Amino acid sequence: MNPAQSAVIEVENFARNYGDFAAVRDLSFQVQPGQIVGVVGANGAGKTTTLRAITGILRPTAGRIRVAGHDIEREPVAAKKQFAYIPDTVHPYDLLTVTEHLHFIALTYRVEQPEAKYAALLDELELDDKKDEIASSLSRGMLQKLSLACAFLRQPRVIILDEPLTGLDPRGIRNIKASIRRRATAGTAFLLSSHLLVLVEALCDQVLILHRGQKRTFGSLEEIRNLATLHADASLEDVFFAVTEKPEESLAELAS
Amino acid sequence: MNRALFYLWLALLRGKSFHFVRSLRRPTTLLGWIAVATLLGFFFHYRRLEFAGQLVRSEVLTGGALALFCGSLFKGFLQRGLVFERPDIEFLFTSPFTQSQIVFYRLLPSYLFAVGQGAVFFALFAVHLRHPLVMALCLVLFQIACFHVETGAAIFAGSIPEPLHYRMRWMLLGTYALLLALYLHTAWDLKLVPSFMASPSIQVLFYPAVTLSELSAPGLVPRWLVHLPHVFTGRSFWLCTLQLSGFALGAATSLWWLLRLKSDMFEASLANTTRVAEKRLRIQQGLRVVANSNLPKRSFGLPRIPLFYGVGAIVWKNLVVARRSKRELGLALAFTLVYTGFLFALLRVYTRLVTDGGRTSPEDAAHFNQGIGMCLAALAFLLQRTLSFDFRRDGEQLVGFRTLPFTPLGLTLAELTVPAMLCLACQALGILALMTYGRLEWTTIIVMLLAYPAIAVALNGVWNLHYLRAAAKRAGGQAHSASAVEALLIVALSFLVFYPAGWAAVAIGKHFEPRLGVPLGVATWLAVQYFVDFVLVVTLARLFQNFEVSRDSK
Repeated sequence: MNPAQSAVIEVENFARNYGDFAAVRDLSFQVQPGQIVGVVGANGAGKTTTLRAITGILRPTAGRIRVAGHDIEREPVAAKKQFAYIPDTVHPYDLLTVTEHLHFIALTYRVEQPEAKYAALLDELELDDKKDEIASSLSRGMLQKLSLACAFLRQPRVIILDEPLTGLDPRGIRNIKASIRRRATAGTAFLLSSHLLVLVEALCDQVLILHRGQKRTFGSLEEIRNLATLHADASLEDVFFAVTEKPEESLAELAS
Repeated sequence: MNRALFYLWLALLRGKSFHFVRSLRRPTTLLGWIAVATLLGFFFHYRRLEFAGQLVRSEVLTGGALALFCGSLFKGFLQRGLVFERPDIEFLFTSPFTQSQIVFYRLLPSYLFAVGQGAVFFALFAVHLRHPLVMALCLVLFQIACFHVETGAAIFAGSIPEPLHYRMRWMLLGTYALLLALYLHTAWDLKLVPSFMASPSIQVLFYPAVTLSELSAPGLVPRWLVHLPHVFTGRSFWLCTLQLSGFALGAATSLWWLLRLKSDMFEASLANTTRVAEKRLRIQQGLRVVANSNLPKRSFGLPRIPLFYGVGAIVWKNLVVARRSKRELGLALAFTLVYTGFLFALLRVYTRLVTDGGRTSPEDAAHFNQGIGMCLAALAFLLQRTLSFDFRRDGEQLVGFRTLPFTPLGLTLAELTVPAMLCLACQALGILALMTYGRLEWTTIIVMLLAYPAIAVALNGVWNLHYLRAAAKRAGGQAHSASAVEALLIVALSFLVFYPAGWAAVAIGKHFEPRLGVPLGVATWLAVQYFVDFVLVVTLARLFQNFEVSRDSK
C-alpha cells in the first residue's frame, strides 16, 4: 500500500484508566491524510486524554495507536517525527525568543534551510514584529501562534491541536483557519479538539463525538445527521445534543 | 471599620487557624514549627544571660528602630501598590467600600502580628528592662506606625510615574546610607562619614531645635536619637507613660494620615496582586521567576555545528538559557573565585612554607594536594543550585518533552550536559592553580580529569532525580513544592552517591601493597563511580519516561 494514502492516525480499541476511573473506553477511529477531524465532547469526555495518548504523553491502558504506521509505544521516536502537538496551554521556554524557538525546532527535527521559511511563517501568523521578543512575555494568543509556527515550520504529516483558537483575536482566528485549510489541502492531516462547535462545523471534514469516555459517533456531519435522524440543515450543535442525549442502548448502534 | 469587612476578617482568621492546625498533621510542617518553637524556647531558657541584655541596649534598640522604620518605608515604596489576596480584588474592589475601609481591613492582620511580636519581646527581654510592659507596648505601637508608613508609601508610590519613582528610590537609598553612617558613628564609633557632618555648622540646620548655645557641642543631634531609649530604663514611670502616649499619638497620627491619603490605590494594587500571585504560583509549581530586566534585545543565530542537531538541540537551548541567566552565572563565577581563591591561598602558603625550609615529607605534600583536590571536587556540589540548566529549568515543558522525537536516555544525557560542563569549567580554574603551585604528578592530574566529570554528573543526576520525582508528584496532585525534609534528603544523597565507589576502592586497595593498592583503588573508584553515574542516568530516563500524569486528568 502507498504510505501516503494510508491512515496517518490509527486508533484501535484504545482505553485509558486513571486508577479505577475509565477515562476512555474502546475507542477506534482513523484519520486520513489531508483530513481535518474534530473531536468534540463535554468536559471529562476524554478528548484531551485521547490526544495525549496519540502523542505519547499518556500510555494506553489497552489498545493500539499508530501514527503514520509507527506504533507510538513500540517506535515512539519514529512516530513522534511524524506529528506536531499543540496543547491547550502553551508553555514556552522562559528565556528563548520567538526566533530561537524556531531555531530549536529546526535543530530538533533537522529542518532543511529553516531560515528561508521563517519570514513567511512569521508573517502568516502575524509574529514578525515579535520575532526578537522573549516568548514568556507574549500574550496567550501570541503563544498559540508561536506554537503553530513551530508546528508549521517542520511540515509534519499530522498536526494535533487541543483547543487551537484559545486566546486568539477575530483576525487571528480567521488567519489560522485559513492556514489550517491550506495545509490540509496540501496533504497535512489535522486532529483538533474544541468546545467551539461552530469552529468544528466550519473547519472539519469529520467529527468524532465522545461522551463519558466512549465514542458516540464518527463521520462527516452529513453522515451523523442521517444517523441521528435530523433534518439536512441541522447544525453541529443540534447534532451534538441529539447524539449525546441518546440513551445508552443506542450507543453501539450509532458507533457502528 | 465596616462590619462586613470585620466579619470577613474574623472568618478568614478562623479558617486560616483551622488550616494551620490541620497542616500540623503533616510531619514536614510539624517539624518546621517544632524547630521554630525550639529556637524560641532556647532563647527563653537563656533569657537571663548577659547576651540577651546586650540585645536591648539603647544603641541596639535605636539601630533596630531605624532599620524597622527605614525598611518599612523602603519596602512600601518599592512595592508600588498594596498586595491583596486574589479574592479580595474580585469581591472587595467591586463592592461599595471606601478606600479607607479596605486599607483598614488590610491592616488588621498587621496589627495582630505587632501584638504577637510585642508579646514575644516581653517574654524574652522583660528581665533586662525596668518597665518591660511599657516598653513592649511602645514596640507594638511603633511597629503599627511602621505598618502605616509602609502602607502609605506603597499607595503613594503606586500613584507616581515610573521615572519619578526610580529617582526617589535612589534618593531614599542615599538618605538611608547617610542615616546608617551617622548611626554607626554615634552609637558604635565607626567613622564612615567625614567629621564635618557632626560639626556645629551642620547642626545650624536643626535650629531652633538646637539652640545657639548648644552649637558648640558637636554631634548633638545624632546623640538625641541614640539616647532616646534610655528614657525607658533610666527615668520615672510617669515619664515612660508620657513616652508611651507619644508612640500612641504617632501610631494614631500615621493612621489618620494614611486614611486621608488621596492617592488611588486600586489600579496599582490590582497589578501588584496579580504579579505577586503569579510569582507565588510559579514558585509553588517549582518554576523559576523570570526578571523582566533579563529580556533579550536580539535573538541568537541558528548554530551550524552538527553537534546541536537532533537531541543536541536541547544542549543548544540550555546554552542559550545559561547565556541569558547572567545573575546565576555571575553568582557561580563569584563563588568560584572566592572558593578557588581560598584554596589557592592555602596552596601558596603551604608552598612558601616548604620553600622556606619547613619540614614536610613527600607523602605529606601529596596528601595536602589531594585534600585541596577533594575540596575542589566539592565545588560541584556547592554550584548545584546556581547552575541548574537542566530538567530543573524545564519544569513547564516536561509534558511537551514527551512529544520530542528523542529516546529518554538521549534526552536525559543532553539535559545533564550543560550544567556538568559549566561545573567543570569552574573547577578548571582550581586545577590550573593546583598545576601551577601544587607540583602535582601527571598521574594525579589524569585522575582528577577523569574523576571530576564523574562527580559532576553524579551530583547533577541526584538533583535532577529529586526534581523529576517532585515534578511527577506535583503533576499527580500529590505535592506542591519540595519540603525541607526532602531538601535534607537530597543533600544526604549527594554524599551517599559516592559511597559505593569509595567503599569498593578501599576494599580493593587494602588487599594489596600501597604501590599497587593505590592505583588499583583509584581505578576501582573511577569504574564504580562511572557505573553509578550510568545507573543514575538510566533511572532519570526511566523516571522521565514514566512522567505522564497530566494535571487536568486528576
